[in-house]
Amino acid sequence: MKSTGLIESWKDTPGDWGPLYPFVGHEMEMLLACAAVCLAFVIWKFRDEQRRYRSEVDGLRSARQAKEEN
Amino acid sequence: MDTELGALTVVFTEFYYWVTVVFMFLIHVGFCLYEVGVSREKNKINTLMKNAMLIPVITVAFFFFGWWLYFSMQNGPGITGGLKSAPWSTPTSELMGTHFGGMPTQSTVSASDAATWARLNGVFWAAFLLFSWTAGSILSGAVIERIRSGAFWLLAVLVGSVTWVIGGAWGWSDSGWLVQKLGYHDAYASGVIHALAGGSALAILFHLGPRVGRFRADGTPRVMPAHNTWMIAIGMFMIFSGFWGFYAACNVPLLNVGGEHGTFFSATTIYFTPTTLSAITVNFLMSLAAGFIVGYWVSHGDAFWTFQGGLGGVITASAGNDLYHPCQSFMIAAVGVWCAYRLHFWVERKFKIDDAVGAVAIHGYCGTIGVVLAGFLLWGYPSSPVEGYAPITPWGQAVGAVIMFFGLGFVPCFIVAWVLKRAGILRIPHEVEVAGLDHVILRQETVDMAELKNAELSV
Repeated sequence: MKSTGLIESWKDTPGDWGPLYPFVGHEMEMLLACAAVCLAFVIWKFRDEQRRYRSEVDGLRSARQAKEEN
Repeated sequence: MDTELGALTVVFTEFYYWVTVVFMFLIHVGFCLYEVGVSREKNKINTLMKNAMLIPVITVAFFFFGWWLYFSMQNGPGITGGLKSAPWSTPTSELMGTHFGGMPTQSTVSASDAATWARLNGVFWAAFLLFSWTAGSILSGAVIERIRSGAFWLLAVLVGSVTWVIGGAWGWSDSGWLVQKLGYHDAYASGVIHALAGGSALAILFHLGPRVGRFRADGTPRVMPAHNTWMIAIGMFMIFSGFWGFYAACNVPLLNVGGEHGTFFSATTIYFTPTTLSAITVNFLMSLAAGFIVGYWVSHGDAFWTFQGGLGGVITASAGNDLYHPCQSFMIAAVGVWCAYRLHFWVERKFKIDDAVGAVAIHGYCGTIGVVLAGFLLWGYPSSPVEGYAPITPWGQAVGAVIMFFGLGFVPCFIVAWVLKRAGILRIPHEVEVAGLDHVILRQETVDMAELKNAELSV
């Protein structure tokens, strides 16, 4: 039977068990995947903030201009 | 884990820290409530999200490098040795995952590391992480209503996952170089968290500038009324509740302090110096009481400064609350809150620093004063059970306080905030600040409410 982890039976000696999580040995790949998500979030956040404030300022300025003209 | 007593000791320690983490979560809930309460109606949603999102941002940064920094930086590096090896603390370590303590699969992890850290790594990590959130949250309140969230989170990561962690490694660990060389003593983190975060907040405020309308033309400050006093009060009570967990988390619950003279189990501080939960509980309450009294007294019954005084009192006495008599805790807290209150208004008038929640005063000044005063009261006490460490002295504490407030607090944030300011991404645009950070949401809500009313009437 193929398995994603190192444990073959819960009846073995518990004191001998090391890591219980799946894909032992692929920690670096898993870390890089997490880091990529975080990096993408940071890039999105700074871009979104820049875009949002620019559009808000434009909106507020044109609303003020329209008010002054009326 | 193969004897009942041994297993009980390990599982008790694991459970002990787990409980402190749950308690400390209240600190963050309290900070959120408090900060949103202090903000004005037009900024409350943004204020909430800015602080709430600090949780995931600092968490991942602390997982990626913060935990490793704490262990690896204890020698400076370059002062008492090089970078320390700590294979259990890296984000790729097998000991960061579910582990039973048996033979490790990674060559960098020893069998002894696996046996020691398998059940404690995660709860220690979480306890330190909650301290990191607190450090970030201290900044958060000071800068509300005008900082960009992206810039704030970057600064929060700097303080929460880098600078305070280095401060902790140097002065709040059993073998930090500040402890070894200067006898630095800061049992409940007056300096390594509060002074450091307060100094950081001051540096950011310097570049950020005051909120629009905060100061009159003659330089006197205007009061910017909080939108919800009850949220502030409940938030502060929650912070106090969480602070209990923080105090417990700063202790090691069960350790043999007997040394050469046999076995004697006790709670200890992070320095492995003995204390008792009983004593620190009394000292916590006496310093809280003094802070409340002096806060009420100097502010003539102002609710905001009374609550803040309570917090400041605990923060001032925290450096030595493992050893003080309750009356000493009381007096130290009283002095700290009185000085911080006066300093807050002096700095505000003199430098036009708009600290929306008094964070620099309550955390920065109280923490710094507390570290320095501990040097006088605990003068000559051994800083560690390890032979050869310097004893506690006023000058060791003074140097430590300067390193925390200025070296690790003010300077790094001053530089990063300056860079963010130059890049034009530190402060929100003037128009948005005047309209309010939530103006788009609030306008849409008004439109939706009107449409909803019409829709209901037309049925």
